[in-house]
Amino acid sequence: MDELELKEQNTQEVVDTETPLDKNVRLMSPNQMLARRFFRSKLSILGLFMVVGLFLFCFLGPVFYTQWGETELDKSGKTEYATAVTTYTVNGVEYTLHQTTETHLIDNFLAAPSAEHPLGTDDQGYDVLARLMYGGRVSLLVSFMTVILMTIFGVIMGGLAGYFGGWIDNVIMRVCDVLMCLPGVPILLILSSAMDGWVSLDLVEEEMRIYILMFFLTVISWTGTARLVRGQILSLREQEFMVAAEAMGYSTGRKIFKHLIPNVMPQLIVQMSLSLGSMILYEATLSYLNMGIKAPYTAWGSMINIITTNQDILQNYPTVWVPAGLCIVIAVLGFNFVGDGLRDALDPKGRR
Amino acid sequence: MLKYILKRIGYSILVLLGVSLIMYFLVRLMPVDYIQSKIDQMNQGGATVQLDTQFAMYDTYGLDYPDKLIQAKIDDLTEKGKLSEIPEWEAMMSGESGWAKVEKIFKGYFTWLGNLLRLDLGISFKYGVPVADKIAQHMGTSFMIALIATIFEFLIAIPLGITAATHQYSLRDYVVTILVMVGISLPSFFFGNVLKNWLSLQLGWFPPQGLVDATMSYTGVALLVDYVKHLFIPILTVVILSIGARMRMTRTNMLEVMNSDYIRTARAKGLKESVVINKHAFRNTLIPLVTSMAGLLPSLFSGAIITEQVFDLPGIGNVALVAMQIGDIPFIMGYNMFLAVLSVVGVLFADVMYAVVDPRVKLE
Amino acid sequence: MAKQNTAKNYLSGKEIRAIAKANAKEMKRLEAYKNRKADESEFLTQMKKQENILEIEDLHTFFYTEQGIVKAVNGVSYDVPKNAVVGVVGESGCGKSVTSMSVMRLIQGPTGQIVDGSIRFVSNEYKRDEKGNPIPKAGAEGEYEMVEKVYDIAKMPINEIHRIRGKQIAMIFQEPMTSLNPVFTIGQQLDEVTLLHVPGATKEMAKAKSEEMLRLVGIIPENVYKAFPHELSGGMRQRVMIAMALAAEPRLIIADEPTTALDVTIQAQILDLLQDIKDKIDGSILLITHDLGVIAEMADYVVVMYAGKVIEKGTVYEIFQDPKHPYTIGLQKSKPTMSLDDSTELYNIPGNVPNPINMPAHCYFKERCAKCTAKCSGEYPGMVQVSPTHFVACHLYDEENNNG
Repeated sequence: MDELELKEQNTQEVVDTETPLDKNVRLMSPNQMLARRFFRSKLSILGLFMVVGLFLFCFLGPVFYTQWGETELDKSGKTEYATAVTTYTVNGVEYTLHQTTETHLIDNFLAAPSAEHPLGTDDQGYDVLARLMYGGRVSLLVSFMTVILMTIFGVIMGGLAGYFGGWIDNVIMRVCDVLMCLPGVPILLILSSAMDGWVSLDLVEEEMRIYILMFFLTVISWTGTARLVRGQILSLREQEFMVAAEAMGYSTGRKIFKHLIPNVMPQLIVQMSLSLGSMILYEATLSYLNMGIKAPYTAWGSMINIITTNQDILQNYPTVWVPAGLCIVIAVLGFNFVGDGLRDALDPKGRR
Repeated sequence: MLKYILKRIGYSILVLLGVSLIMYFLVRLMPVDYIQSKIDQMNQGGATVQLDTQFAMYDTYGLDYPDKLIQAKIDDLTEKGKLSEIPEWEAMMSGESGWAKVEKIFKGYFTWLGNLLRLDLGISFKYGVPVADKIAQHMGTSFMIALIATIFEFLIAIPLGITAATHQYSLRDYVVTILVMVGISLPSFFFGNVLKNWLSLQLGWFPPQGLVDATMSYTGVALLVDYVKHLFIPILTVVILSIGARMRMTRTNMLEVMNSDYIRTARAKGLKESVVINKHAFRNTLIPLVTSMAGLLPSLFSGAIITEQVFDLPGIGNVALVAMQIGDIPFIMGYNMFLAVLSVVGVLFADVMYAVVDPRVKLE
Repeated sequence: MAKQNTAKNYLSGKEIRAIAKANAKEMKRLEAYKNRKADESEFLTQMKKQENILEIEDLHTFFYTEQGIVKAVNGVSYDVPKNAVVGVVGESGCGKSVTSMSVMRLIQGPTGQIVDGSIRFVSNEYKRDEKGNPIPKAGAEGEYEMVEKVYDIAKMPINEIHRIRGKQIAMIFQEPMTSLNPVFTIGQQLDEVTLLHVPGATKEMAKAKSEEMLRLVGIIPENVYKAFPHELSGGMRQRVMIAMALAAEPRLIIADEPTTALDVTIQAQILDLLQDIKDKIDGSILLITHDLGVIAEMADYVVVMYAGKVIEKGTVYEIFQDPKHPYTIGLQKSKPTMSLDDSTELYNIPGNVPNPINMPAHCYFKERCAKCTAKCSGEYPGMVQVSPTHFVACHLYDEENNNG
């Protein structure tokens, strides 16, 4: 507790230049302190590497890996051999007939990893590595957009509720209560079926369905952010600096943007980075259930979808589905590590 | 206390009404028409389903006739020259007007609500049995998996969380934290399939899917062993995936408690560190844990959709997944309302538990 | 320009990393020392003066922060005689609480560490046989053979510290509102002390003892024994804390600003209570406060601390009647007095307590001192004895010492 007192003094003394003693005291700047706390945990650094690495892989990867495109089938052909052995007896002598059938196929599907296809090809004949890059773009973009949209929406709603209070607050919070009771995955499944119909009626384009789906996801998942912002604003409103701002006669906009939002920012950033992980999981689950983006385009989850129907691939062709799963794990883990590090860095209560 | 609970129940019913309304609209937005796909199926089978039979089918399932079908009827009547009957059918067309559609949905919603008040969830299109019966039939499996998994989850997560907190920043803390984060980040469908592929398809230690071995008819202990064999990987999957969040929660709470003044008092009394942790700190850490346990109520009954799908278990989640994919309206509504009720009850239950565990909290 | 100025006051990334590295190394070493297993002989010692119960000598307690080492206690020495009340006074952040926490070994690791020095304490504990059971006194029911041992608390491994805490030294904390465990009743928390420290104590015995203690601190046990802490007011809780401290009949009670968090009328009640208890118990009190009035009323000896060092110590009479150190003089002048004369403005020592990171080599009070001389820029003044019991660390008195 004395330690705390001392620390408080430190921060005071930064401003206090009157006392000559403090001239030889040098402290960390606030930004340095943040960086120090964030990087103290090796996991945050690891997370940062994972996230940046995946982004480079997905967005810059195709620039260097140009052999195969996203929807480019390997038409180099493939020969399959099937052998049948028949035994029959003629005049007491037993004969064995070995019969080999050679089938020429147009598509080189389920190819083993080679120089041509570093991760082989999938059941259609698409190059797995190329699909991994393009699929990652979809997964990452969709999650980012969802989180940003969700945060903007949540901040607006939470800000309105917290700042104005009264019936506005009441209505928004009741809507939150209802939305929070909606079961997430089932709702998305229902919406996805609805989307199937709209696509067939040409109301929406096939490529857009995942974006529309994730938009609905934001519509039902902004409640957490809204509650966070509302709670923060309610507690901040009571604090001295807001009372001071009130006394100074600042405009509402200035109060919100200069005083309230910066104070909520740290928690928002933490929440955003942690939500990114869960959004990637959501998107992947939908794609896995074949509710997301549809062929010939792909996402990481969709690349795993094949094993639900084809046990042969599950068992014998791990290069088709395991890389996509690993990418999902790395992405989610990376965002979680970063989010955790940010929380430790930004939460003044969390420091040791 | 009683007054508080009654008030909360009243409020919960309002929330549930809101939830059901949203849900009903969404379900009705689904263009997946169960009857249509059934008729298509019959047509593919070589038969031609008569118009009147089609109307009869819509009647049995209590659904409105689609415009397309009515148009066909009108065309039919025009052909046959029965012009007098046409206006009657035309009146039934919803037309392109959105309002008429909304009105129809509302009408359907209130019918559904009326039935619900009579505790009638309707009959599932797909399974042909009352929805409530179907849910009850499959809930057992899901409940068993969830219960066992939850018990293991708590048994493993709480000690891990406490030791990570009491050895903060040590190697132990890091190892536990990393394992837990990996657990949180694993997608259930991927991890479930990896385990299934590795432990059952490659190593052959466990059967890959189902709840019992269909080729054998076990009884008694043998049946139990068979259950354990089938459920081992699914439960392992659920435990590993859920343990992380619980452990983090324990660790965070424990850290907060360990820094509090009353822990310092306990130490100053001369209590050994183990007593300080296991008695003074643990009791306080329990408060949020018990509260969260009440919040687990819905997940105990709702079934793990993905895990059940991966391991092809006859749980409620798997059944619901199929129903949702084909547009079985009564079942979807019934199942989702069941989930919503559970989560409302879970929140209420958590509040009550909170008051039980924490002497500072009084329900008002 | 301004930007450059501020940048100059900040540490560079290189320095930050260097600090972190050095800190990590030190903390690891000290943690290992704290958690080591050691034989009793390693921390048994002898008192310098037999009349003392506690001798703190050259104690250094540091906090290894990211900004550098905070030398919260930097070479503190003072004694607590038997059956006496010693008051430690100083501004907040001067290290007086950290000293008392060091005595109880309650400094939060790994950041906070006792780095050097000794804390000698005469412990009066049960004589134990080989199995660790107390040996009953022949002929006296419920009494046991006692033995006096002198421990160096600073050198004790942390897992041996339970010998001292509670039974030998008890502590009353500053924050009564949060110092009681919210999920246990007052009775449970009080009983725990007796059950822990009295051999063979039963639940009934513990309850009787707890009720006796509650009565001693002026609480009717029936109302409070079964209550939870949140049902009591701050003053009541502080009384419970005092009862808890007294329950094991310790030889030394450390009261760390026991009245600071309470409102004024309650403060007076608690002080009266402490005054009252002082006469009733057979032990010493170490009273830590920033309130000179409390000291004057309660203490026999006074220790004045400033920025992690003791700058003056003596009997209460010497400190109040004949303060030597300019800081002590200033401190007394800044005490409000009842006066009808409006012209006497409250005195205010200029400046602040210096930042405890990178302390200068010269006297820490130099910049705020009105009587500062050229010598003050030299090395830190040593302790000068001005009377058999009165010591001061100030260059003003160096010559006096030389002459006398």
